[in-house]
Amino acid sequence: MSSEPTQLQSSHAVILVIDDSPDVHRLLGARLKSEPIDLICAADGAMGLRMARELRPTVILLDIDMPGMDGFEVLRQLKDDTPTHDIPVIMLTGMQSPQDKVTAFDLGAVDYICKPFDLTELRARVRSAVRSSRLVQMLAQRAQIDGLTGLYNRAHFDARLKDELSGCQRHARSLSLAVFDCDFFKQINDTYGHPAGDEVLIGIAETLQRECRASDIPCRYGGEEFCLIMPDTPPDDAFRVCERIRQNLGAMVWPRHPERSITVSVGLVGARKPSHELTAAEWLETADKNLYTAKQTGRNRTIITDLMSGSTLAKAG
Amino acid sequence: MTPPPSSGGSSEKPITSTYHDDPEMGEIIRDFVAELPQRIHAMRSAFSEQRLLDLLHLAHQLKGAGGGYGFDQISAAAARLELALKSLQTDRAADAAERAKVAIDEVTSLCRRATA
Ligand SMILES: [Mg+2]
Repeated sequence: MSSEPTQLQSSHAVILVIDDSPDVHRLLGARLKSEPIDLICAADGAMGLRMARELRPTVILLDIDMPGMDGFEVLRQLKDDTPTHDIPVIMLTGMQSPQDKVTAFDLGAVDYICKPFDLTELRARVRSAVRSSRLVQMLAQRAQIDGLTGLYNRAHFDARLKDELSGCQRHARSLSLAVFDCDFFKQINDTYGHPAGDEVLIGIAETLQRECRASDIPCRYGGEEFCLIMPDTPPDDAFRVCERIRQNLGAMVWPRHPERSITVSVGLVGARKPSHELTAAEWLETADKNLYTAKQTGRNRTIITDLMSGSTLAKAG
Repeated sequence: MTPPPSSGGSSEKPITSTYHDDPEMGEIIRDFVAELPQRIHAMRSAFSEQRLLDLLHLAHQLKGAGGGYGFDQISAAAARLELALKSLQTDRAADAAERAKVAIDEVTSLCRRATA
């Protein structure tokens, strides 16, 4: 689905070369020209660390022998720092120093390349590091993605809601959170079978993704329950988004059961300036309570709480 | 640049990069060769002005670069120069200065013979 991590979509890996010799930059540039990579260069350790943190390259090629901060110290700092910790590092070593290679591996380097570069070896080692780096990124992303719908999963949602809430609290920016639950989902599964149920879940996920804005974060919370985090969105705007989603879903015709429409109930909570008193768990609790009310009062409707005014409103379709 | 006269014909022969047929290397080999006179000048001035550390740094860089451009002989000579300079630095061996002089002449001659 469209949640495929960006790193996997882009064909170009970014390789950061940290080496004090301009010749090395020139040689690598020529030697890797035909590879699908973007080469960026840093002339010393401090500049290299800065660029690694800002640009998060796919792979780093790191010279050991540099004046000032040497390659081992750079490697140590890369491994100590969360944003750069997982970037694979290939050390550039001289021929005559076996101990350097051992030290490099001990510090967390994934590989080494001897100078002067052997063309075939250089390309093979860079390709292999790019491949494993992408695999690691993919696995990390996959762990956050729901297999059926391609939306973010609950693990991602939990972490993300906390982040977004504290960001909005800090900067006094609005925030809204909606919980969607498919009405009579068990009946659909029982009547039309699990493939039909899966199709409904996928359809809800696609509608969420299509109808929300790029800055919104749709997640599959579990079962037939979905969440939508809407940063920078006051409750009344969020309400319009939720109603659009609810109405679009209700109007959809399902190939497996054209006679049977699908509706959702929605619990919504939001604030123009989220207070520091409520935690992410309490936000979710309020949204859940509203979802429960929506179910109790006839389903296929949105119940909204504005935390600033303290008012709760029911809107039915 | 005219190389010093020599009895051994081989020392006057131009040397070419082992990568001279490699299309992706052509341009940077030409750049490297074009910059060699500056490198030699910098090294010889550092030598005559006894700036050993500067010379050591330049020799080290040339050692690392030469082979990459396909001039292994230049790298080997630069490595010998680096070694001689290091022993000159540490034990001030009587013959170290002489070996360094021989090595820098050797580097100079090889660099002058290098062609793209
Ligand atoms: Mg270096």
